Amino acid sequence: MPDVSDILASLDANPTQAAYARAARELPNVDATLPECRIAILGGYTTGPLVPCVAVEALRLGIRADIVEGDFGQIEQALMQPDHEIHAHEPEIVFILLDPPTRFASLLQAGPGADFSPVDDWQTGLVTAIDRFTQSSAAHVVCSNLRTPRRTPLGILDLESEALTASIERANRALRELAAQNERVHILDSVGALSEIGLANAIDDRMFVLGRIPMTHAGHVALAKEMCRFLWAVKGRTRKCLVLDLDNTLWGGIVGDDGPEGIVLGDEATGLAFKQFQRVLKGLRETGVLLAVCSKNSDHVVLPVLDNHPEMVLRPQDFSAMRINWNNKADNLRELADELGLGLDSFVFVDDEPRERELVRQELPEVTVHDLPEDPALYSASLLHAHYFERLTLTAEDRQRAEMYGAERQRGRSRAAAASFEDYLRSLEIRVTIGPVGETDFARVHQLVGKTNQFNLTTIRYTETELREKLSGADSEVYCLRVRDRFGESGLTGVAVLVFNADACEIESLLLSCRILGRTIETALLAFLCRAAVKRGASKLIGRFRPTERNSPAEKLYESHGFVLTNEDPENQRWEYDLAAGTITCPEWIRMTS
Amino acid sequence: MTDTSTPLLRIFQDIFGYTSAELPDTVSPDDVEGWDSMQHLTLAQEIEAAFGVRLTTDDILAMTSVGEIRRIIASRMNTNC
Repeated sequence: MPDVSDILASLDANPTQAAYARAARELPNVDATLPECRIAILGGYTTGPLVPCVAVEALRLGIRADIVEGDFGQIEQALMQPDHEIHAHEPEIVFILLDPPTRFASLLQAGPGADFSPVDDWQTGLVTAIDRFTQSSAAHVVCSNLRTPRRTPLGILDLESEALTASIERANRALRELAAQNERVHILDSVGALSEIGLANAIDDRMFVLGRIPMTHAGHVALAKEMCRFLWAVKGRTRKCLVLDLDNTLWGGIVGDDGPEGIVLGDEATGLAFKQFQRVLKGLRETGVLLAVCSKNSDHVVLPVLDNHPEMVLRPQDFSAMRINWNNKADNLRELADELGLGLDSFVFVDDEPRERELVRQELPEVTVHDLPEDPALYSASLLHAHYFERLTLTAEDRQRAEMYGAERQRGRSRAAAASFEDYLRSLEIRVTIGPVGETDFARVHQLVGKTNQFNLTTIRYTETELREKLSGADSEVYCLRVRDRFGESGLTGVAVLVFNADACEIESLLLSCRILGRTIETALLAFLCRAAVKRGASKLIGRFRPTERNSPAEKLYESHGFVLTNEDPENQRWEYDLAAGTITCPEWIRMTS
Repeated sequence: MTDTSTPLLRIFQDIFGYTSAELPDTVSPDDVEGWDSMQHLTLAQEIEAAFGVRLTTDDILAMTSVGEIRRIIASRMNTNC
């Protein structure tokens, strides 16, 4: 079995097109436990040379890409025909690759005021086809943005004229609007990917005239890398926590030696580089990435800087956890993982000191160690350029994740101080809101269904289509649960799917985010579900439990609420609650609102 | 005349999985599986990278056999110095 790092090392020594083709030929034999991602590529130009580049760049991210190509120029057909072969492939992502200067080369001869409706018509057809496709397929559709010709006969007047460039820009706006309102449509920044390597390196007119291939090999590699960010995101490899050193990472200099007034941080030169980096980090926190500190320093030296230095952009409350001590950083990372309840494989480690990076690389291979450049002015771009945090959805819960971790730490302190567990629960002033799933809740509900492992009674991973069927079905109901307490909002953190059959109401799926466990919220949920069942005339409430490797926290749920086991199958347990004999009541320390 | 044999043979091995140890001038697309119009463009770009030459569109169209390829590489290498 060929080693992935050997394949990539040999490729990177001389990354020609043939080398990519050779590396791609080895892919069927690599480690089959690497996650597989099924993708379809629909091209408005010849995409053959691009395919091995995508396969190899996906491997670089630890993903095996299973790629199917649509026929040249058959994009709308592939999207609109339900029996087209790309549907049989069941792609997770469909890429639509376009190059208007190739497609509309004949329009270069048209001056301002000529008929550019072919471009508008093409764009309307494409937008309709994409939108319709997402209604019958679970795939994410990633559509290339559109390159305008670098130069046209209009020259410097092009940008103020109503000609080809303007019509392509109109098309770009329409695609952007589609992506904004359809949560499964996204835009691939082909234009950005190619400009990063320089148009002269990315475009080859000889290849265009000879084969209708607009790009060079270098252009294909740049585009493939951009495409693979979407594979990373769809496979759920998004990293969750960024662990940061302080000295020479968040500011210039060493605070223990230079004192708080001596550190380099401000609006000039190198100080500005560090301030900008802090702004980038704060921006990442806004998307749900947790920030943590791991620094060889003393508390009393560092905390005044974090609290009071006027140029700091990041403040103590921006960090979800800290280890400021003189211990080994690998040990500190293990402790941070424990404290935050995250796996080390969700960590990214950023430290200016190559020895610390090497230590972590060797001791903790699952941690992603960022290769921070030597020059602080280059820090921001290097982190933004990395793929670690790419994601396909951004929900309100994601954006507030960092706040919620802060609230959780405060709950922990309150728990330690309370006299009894019930006193603690009363002191939280818990409010639970349970109701039907609205359109704005849908993305989050589907996200929970897909990723909740521990408190998940039946671990049914409904697809979006299946979930919509449960929502609209006459014999099923889907509820979502939100919790808030004195310390903050936990957001949408619970889902229940009920199925009604004669006098029985079955809880087909019940799951709660592990974030809200240990506060008797599940009792409030069951109380609500009893009432919902009775409202539809059910006389019994059935709970199902299917044990998995991860869901033992849920195994006593039904037993501890007075359900009775009615079958002999330990892998698919059936628990029954007699609604005629009684009901489950909501705990007195939880206020239920709807 | 520069010996183009070994680097050219290696390119044929990489792109087409060419197994023979010899690459005679007479070899053409008819003799090599996978040498289609698209792989022909890959071949042209590999030759440019390996020999440090720049081929014109007409050069690429004229590469109808290994012998023609050798002739074109040689002429471009002489013009490029």
